[in-house]
Amino acid sequence: MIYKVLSDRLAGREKGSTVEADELHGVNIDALIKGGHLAEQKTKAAKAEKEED
Amino acid sequence: MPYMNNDLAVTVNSVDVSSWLTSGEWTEQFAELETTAMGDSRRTMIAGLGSGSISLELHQSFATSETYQSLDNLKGTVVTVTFTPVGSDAVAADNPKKSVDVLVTELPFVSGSVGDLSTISVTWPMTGPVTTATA
Repeated sequence: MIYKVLSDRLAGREKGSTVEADELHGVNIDALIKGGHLAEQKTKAAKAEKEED
Repeated sequence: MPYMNNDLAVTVNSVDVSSWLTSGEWTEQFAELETTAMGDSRRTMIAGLGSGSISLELHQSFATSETYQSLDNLKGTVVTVTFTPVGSDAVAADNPKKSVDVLVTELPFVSGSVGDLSTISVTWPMTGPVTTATA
């Protein structure tokens, strides 16, 4: 899973950059999404899979 | 060397809360296990289990990605907190960065009297080991 950084509050991450789940080990990702700091970014593979459905 | 405490950098669950922070404290202690025995003229001790807590005072804000939205979903969970004494300087031996997991046991929603700036104060117990980075 890849996430887009939505805020300028994430330590060591720039707003607008992307981060992979592996890089967020030990971080409560769900809380960051609910807090408006991250958003799930759809990958091309996921989009293609959805179109096939 | 003495320094003015106005650049403490604190992250909670990787969110930089420094610009909302008005006060921060990191405290560690060890239980005292008394080993005094007959024949001793002074009490003797050894260290027992270590523990600690962090305390923060923060401006309360309900705006997008600010205090409330960043912390509310952490209640009852264990998250990593970091403290760096001088946030604008590189982490080094003379500016160590400490990290620890804490249990978010409390989170005031609103606190204050009429006319006050709205702030919240929290104290969360440490759980597990403390790590210190010097580079």
